[in-house]
Formats: sequence, C-alpha cells, structure tokens
Amino acid sequence: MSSPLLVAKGIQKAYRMGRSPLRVLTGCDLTVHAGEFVAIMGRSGSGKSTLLQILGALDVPDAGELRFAGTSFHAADHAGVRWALRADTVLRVLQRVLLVLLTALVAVGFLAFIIVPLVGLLGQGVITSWPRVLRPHLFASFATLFALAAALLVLVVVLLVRLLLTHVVERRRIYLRRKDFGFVFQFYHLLPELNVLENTVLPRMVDTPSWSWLFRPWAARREAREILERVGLTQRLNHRPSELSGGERQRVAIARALVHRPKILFADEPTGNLDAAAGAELMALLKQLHGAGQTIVMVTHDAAIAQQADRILRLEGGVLR
Amino acid sequence: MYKLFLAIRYLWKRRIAYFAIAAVMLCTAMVLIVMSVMGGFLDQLKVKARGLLGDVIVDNRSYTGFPLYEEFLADIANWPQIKKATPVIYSYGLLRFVGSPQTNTVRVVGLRLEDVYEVNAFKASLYYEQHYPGTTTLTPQAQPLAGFDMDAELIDWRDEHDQPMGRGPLPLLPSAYQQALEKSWAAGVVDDDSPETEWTRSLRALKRPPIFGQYGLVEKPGPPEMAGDRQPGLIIGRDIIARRLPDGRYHRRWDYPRGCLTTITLVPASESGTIDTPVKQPFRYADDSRTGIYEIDSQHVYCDFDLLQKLLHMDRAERVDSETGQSLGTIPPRCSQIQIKITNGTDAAALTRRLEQFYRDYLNDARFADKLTLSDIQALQYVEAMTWEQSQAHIIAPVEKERQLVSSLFGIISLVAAVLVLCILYMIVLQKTKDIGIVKSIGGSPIGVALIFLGYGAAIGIVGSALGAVLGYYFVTHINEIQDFLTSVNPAWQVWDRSVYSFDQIPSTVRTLDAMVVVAVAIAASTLGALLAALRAGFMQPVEALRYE
Ligand SMILES: Nc1ncnc2c1ncn2[C@@H]1O[C@H](COP(=O)(O)OP(=O)(O)OP(=O)(O)O)[C@@H](O)[C@H]1O
Ligand SMILES: [Mg+2]
Repeated sequence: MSSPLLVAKGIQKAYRMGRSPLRVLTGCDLTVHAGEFVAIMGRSGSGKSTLLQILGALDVPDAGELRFAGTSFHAADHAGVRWALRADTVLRVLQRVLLVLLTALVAVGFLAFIIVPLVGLLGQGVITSWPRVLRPHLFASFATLFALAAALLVLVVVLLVRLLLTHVVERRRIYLRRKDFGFVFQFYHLLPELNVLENTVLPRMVDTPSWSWLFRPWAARREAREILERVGLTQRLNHRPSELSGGERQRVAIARALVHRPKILFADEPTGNLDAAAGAELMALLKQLHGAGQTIVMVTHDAAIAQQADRILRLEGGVLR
Repeated sequence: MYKLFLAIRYLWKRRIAYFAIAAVMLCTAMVLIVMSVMGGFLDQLKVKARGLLGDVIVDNRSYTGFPLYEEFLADIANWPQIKKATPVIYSYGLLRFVGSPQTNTVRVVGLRLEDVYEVNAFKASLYYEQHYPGTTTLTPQAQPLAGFDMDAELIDWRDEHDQPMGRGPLPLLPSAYQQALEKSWAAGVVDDDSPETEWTRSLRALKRPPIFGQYGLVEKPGPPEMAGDRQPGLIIGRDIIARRLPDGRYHRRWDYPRGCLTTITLVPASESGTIDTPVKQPFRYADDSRTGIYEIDSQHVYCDFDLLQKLLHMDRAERVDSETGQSLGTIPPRCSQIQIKITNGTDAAALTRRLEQFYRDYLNDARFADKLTLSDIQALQYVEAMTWEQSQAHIIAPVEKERQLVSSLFGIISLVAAVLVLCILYMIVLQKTKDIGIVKSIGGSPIGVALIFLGYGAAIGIVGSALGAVLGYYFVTHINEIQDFLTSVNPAWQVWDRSVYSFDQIPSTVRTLDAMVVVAVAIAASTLGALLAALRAGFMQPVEALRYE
C-alpha cells in the first residue's frame, strides 16, 4: 500500500467553557491514503466539524500529531515556529502594558489639557488669564501628548510584528490551505460580493503572485469555467450567491474547493442543507470526482450518504472508531 | 492580486464607504482652498507691500535721518548691481484741507518723483497720472478748473448723486490736461477705480472722454483755466482723500477736487532731537496713490524731497555756536531712507551687507574725517541696509504665520476624516468577518488579509483626495464667480468685503506642490485610519471568523 497522505495521531481539542473545559476530542487517530474516500459519522455536537477543521489546517489541536505527506503541520513542530510563538507571548504582554499606559496617558492628558486649565480659569474668572493658567501645565501637556504619540507608535509596531509572527507560525498551514487542501463548508460560505466565476477563481488568485496574475489570468479563469461546467453551473457564471439555490451554492463551493486541484477535499456535511434529490445529485458528483482519483474526507450524520464512501469512521466520546 | 481585487470590490459595493470618500474629499478640498486663498493673499500682500519700496533699502530708523547720502549716492551710482538709487524722507505731520474742519495725522514722505518712478511701482499706484499721463508733479502748480466747450452740443448734466441737473455744455479741462486725457482715452485706459455713473456712461456714449476724477469748475460758464496761486503738489493716500465703496472702487468728493488746497503742519526736530517751531506749508492736491495696503493708503502723503528736507531743517545749514555766534562749519544734509533698485540676478542679501559696510566705512573715510559731529557719527553707526522683504516683515510675517496656523488647524480638523475612515473600516471588517474567514480558509495569509483593508483605506484616500483636489481646484479658480453668484442671490452673503480688504478680488494661487502634499497626506491619513481595522482582520482566526454571526 502507498504511503499515507494524511496522518493524525492523538488529536485532542477542548473548548474553554466557563470553568470546566469542554473536551470535544480526546484522542483521535486517523490515516488517509491517496485516492481514499473516507466518511466520518457522529451525532450532532460530537465534534465532527472541529476534527475536520483541524485535519484541514484551519484550526490547531491542543495536542497530537498531524502530518501531510510525511511532513508535520502541527504548529509547535518547528523550531522557528516555537521561537515565534514565544516571541509572540512576550509581545502580547507588552501590548497589554502599552494599552494600560495609553489609557493612563489619555486620562492624564485630559486632566492636564482640559480639566486643570478649566478649573484654573473658573477660579480666576477671566478669559485673558488663559495663557497664564495654561503655562505651568503646558509642558506637562505636551509631554503627555508626546508620550501618547510614542506609545501609540510602539503599539502599532508591536502589532505589526505580531502580525508577522502570526504569519510565521501559520505559514505551513496557510501553504497547505492554499495548495493541497480544499474545503467545503456546511454553510457554503461564498463571498456575497463576488459572482459565481469570481468566487470560484478566488483560490487561484490567492495562490498566484500578483505580477503573474496580471499577465496571465486567463488560464485560471478557463480552469474555473471547466470546473463549474463539471458541477453543472455553466449558465450561472455571472450570478451572485444570493441568486442561487442551496444546492447550486454548494456546487459553487465544491468548484471553489477544487479549482486549485487540491490533494485532499474536505467536505463538512455537504448535503446537510439539501433535499434528498439535490443531496443525491451532489453525492453522485463526489463519487465521480472520487472515481477520477480525488481523495475525499467527508463528514456526515446521514448513514445512507456515508455508505457511498470507501471507509466509514465514527466519532464517539471524542475518539474515532 | 486578490487583495487589490477585494479591496476595490468592497469599495464599490459597500455604500457606506462613500461617506468616508466624501469626508476625505471635503477635507482635502477644504485644506486646499484655505491654503490657496491664504497663499494668494500672502502673494498679493507681498507684491503690494513692495510697491513703494526699492529692492534694497538703506535706513537708520531715526526721525532726524542720516547724513552723507549724496556722497553715498554718487559713490554707488556706477556699481554694476545698482540700477537707480533715490533718497526719501519720512516724517509726520498734520494734514488739513482748506475749508474743512478735519485734521489728520499723516506720514509725510518726501521723494524725488522722477527717480521713484524708476525705483518702484509708485507710478502705477497714482490715479491721475494714469489717466492724465505727465500731469502729476510735486512742483508748485495752480489748480486746474474745468470749463466748458462752448462749441460742442449740449449734454445732460448730472450731479454728485447722479441726479439730472438739466442740459449744459460739455466740460473741458485746461489744454495740457485735456490733451493728456485724450491721449489716455485713445490708449484705451478705462477708469475701474471710480464708480460707474450715468454721467460717465452718457459721456462715453457721446464718444467724449469722461473726465476721470474730480475737478473744480470755473465760476461762470467759460473756458477752462488754471486758477489760484501756485503751491507745491502733494500726492495723497487714496483712502485719505476718497471713500472706499463696498465694491472696491473709490468715491472722490466734489468738495476736494484735484488741485484743491491743503496744508501740512510739520514738526522739525533739531540734531539733538528737540522740537523746533512747527512749520505750516500749503500744498495742492496733485494726485492720489493706492498701493493696496490700507495702512499705507490711509496714512501716507507724498511731497517733494527737497522741499520737505528744507521744511524739516534737514538741509545743509551753517552750524553756529549759540553763545558766540561764530560759524562752526556746515551741517550736512540728511535723508531718512535710500531706496535702491538693483539689476536682475543680483543677490540682494549679499548686496545689503556690502552697502551697509560701505556706508559705515564713511566713519573712517578721510574725506569726512573732521567734518562729522558726534550726532552725525551716531546717525551713521545705525545705518542699516535691508531687502524689501526684511523691511516689510512686520506686515508679511503675521500673515505668513496666520496661513500656517489656519492651514494646520484645518489639517487637524481633517483628522476627523481619518477617524471616520477608521470607524467605517472597522465596521466593515466586523461585517465582513465571515468573508475574512473564507479568504483565510482558501489560503489568505494574515498579512494578505490585513493588506486588503489597508488597500481599502488607501483606495478611499486616493479616490477621496483626487475628487477633493478637483473640487478644491475648481472652487479656488472660480471663487470670485461663486462669490458674485452668492452676492447676486443675497447681498448679505458677500464673504469678501471689498471695502475692508485691500484686494478687489479674492486672491488665490494653487501651488502644485502644496496640492500634492495635501493629497499625499490625505491618502496616508486614510491608510493609517484603516490600519487598526486591517490589523484586526489580520489577526482573525479562520475558524472563529467563519463561526461569527
Ligand atoms: N469555538 C467554540 N467554542 C466553544 N465551544 C465550541 C466551539 N466550537 C465548537 N464548540 C462545541 O464543540 C462541540 C462540537 O462542535 P462541532 O461543531 O464540532 O460538532 P459537530 O459534530 O460538527 O455538530 P453538527 O453535526 O451539528 O455540525 C459542540 O458541543 C460545540 O458546542
Ligand atoms: Mg458540524
């Protein structure tokens, strides 16, 4: 048998709900080989979406091991990432401090600039004395203003550095999402401002450097059209998502997930919001794709739908069986 | 590419961004207009302030003036940098029109008219000289009285208030004046300084030159004549002699016609600074001058240099010992200022230093070694040379300050636009949280997503400031038409009161560099305004963003 495409071992995930954590995944193991069609079943709320998002590099597990094509993509697995995470922790503390400082400075500035001169003014009762009243506080006020500006600047710099660090931490996962994974959501998640074709072509746009996109947008557009033809939406290229039915939207979502030829297609209850006929049609499409060699990991709570897959796993009590 | 694509798409589709664009546009236009109008005001002021000055001025800021100016003028006359130099005396006096109960305090300026014409723009500021070229002099002169052309057809006469007075013969000036008038009439000179009346209109319709300004009439119908005794001429600041109308023109009074008698009482000061007996000198009103700067036009009168020098006892005199009555030599003549016109391309600042040094070196000059008294030496020690800009700094600097102040104030007000961009973008980021999750789920990076919104802010800035620049430019170039339109709708809407400001038109100059800076700042401000929202978008976790309702 070929080497596994996706390997997950001992995946744990808990959500902090008040005091007691809600332990959703307690130790999931999963291995997906190239060309497989895996279905994950489970009751509502059992954590199927959570697991799929972790597998699809959209979320990070609390513990466990994740590998795609032999390389780990769990956040803390690279020295660089660990270093970035540590730096980020430090910067986050600095950010807190700066925010407190800023608040204090605003308060002081308000006092020095407005309240004190105002009180002095009222005390003296003469408008002309304003400069005299202000002068003792002028220095303080300007110092405050200067400090405020400086703190703001440092805060912006800290935030920018943190953004860079986030990028470093996420880089491997961003790359996977961009190149190797395609994701179909339970609730379509199309961009309402873009039409069908634009929604479909967007992953290619994200994946292509600006300059080469400027000169060669046609190839990507042609491929997007081909994919849309495969899902049967040739007639609706210029329609907005709001003008489509649920089944059509889901097909656009599939087209978008496939346009960059991902190695694995993750589908989270793709039929969940469709009636039986539309669901069957969609499953036929997935089967057809699978027949063409597409690796698919699908989540569903519908046993009939799960039957179409090569392998069915059940998520119960936080573990896969 | 997706960043730009999405930024532009959001800009287009989210109507709320239009408000941000409008705010940026208005702020850009506002700052541009303020800067242009203030800048134009400043430019005009500079032009006008220099009107009565030479490029370089030598002065010692003393009422009693300084000596050796004749030697100085002779010495520098053939310097290649110097075109023309002329001495001027500044003094104070009391001006009174004969027959009027009013007395004005005025600055009396003594000048050599022909020389001053060469040194500065004084000639262009004279009213009668413009319409009667060559008739304005400061030498003794009689009063020209208009008479009547008995051969010409009768015309309708009108009085000061434009009321019909019946038919009468065509007015005619003494021949020298009439010829000068016809010359300027032929040259197409029009009077845009006096209010247009039926009288001038009807004269013009008759193809007869309207008489510009005010002239007295001969006593009984007859030919024009030169009347009265000859007295030296006086040029009077226009705001003293005439009343400024709301439209910026001047109303000359019939009871102060050209050539009418005035007297000036002068206060000569001795070398030691004590006041001598005041002297009273009659003058004839020869012309009026308008530089455009109210402080000058409402206070200055101009008479002949040599006359004023004599009246103020600043001319050459015998120094007499008060006790013995013995002659102690001569007191050199003095003037209070020298105005110099320099040749093109001369470094005025360098020249001032050289002139100043040159003048002060007279103290060590063998020619004057034993002729200078202590007060002469002191007067010389304080002689300064400066460029006209330096000498007018007290008028220009406050306006320059004001321009900076107002521009920066409006700039600060424009921060509101940046805050608005911030709020609107923050709102859009919240609204678009799900979209951000989607973009991240298909591989958008934190930086990329942040750039979408930064680009959004920049796009708002670019579009807004471009529109603002166009709007501001249009407004500034058409500001006078706009004002005229507003005034025609409701006269109370006149913003620029021409009787208050020295300029008839709202001045304005659009400086390209200023405009570019304003536009750049507007773009930078809206980009910065977008920064917070962009950072928020960048930090969003895809799963959380997708979950957001
Ligand atoms: N961000 C979160 N914060 C807190 N709790 C969460 C969060 N996300 C998920 N949960 C909880 O974790 C559990 C698993 O959620 P998940 O969406 O994975 O279930 P699911 O199996 O996909 O359910 P469904 O079949 O209804 O889609 C649920 O109880 C949910 O309330
Ligand atoms: Mg789910």
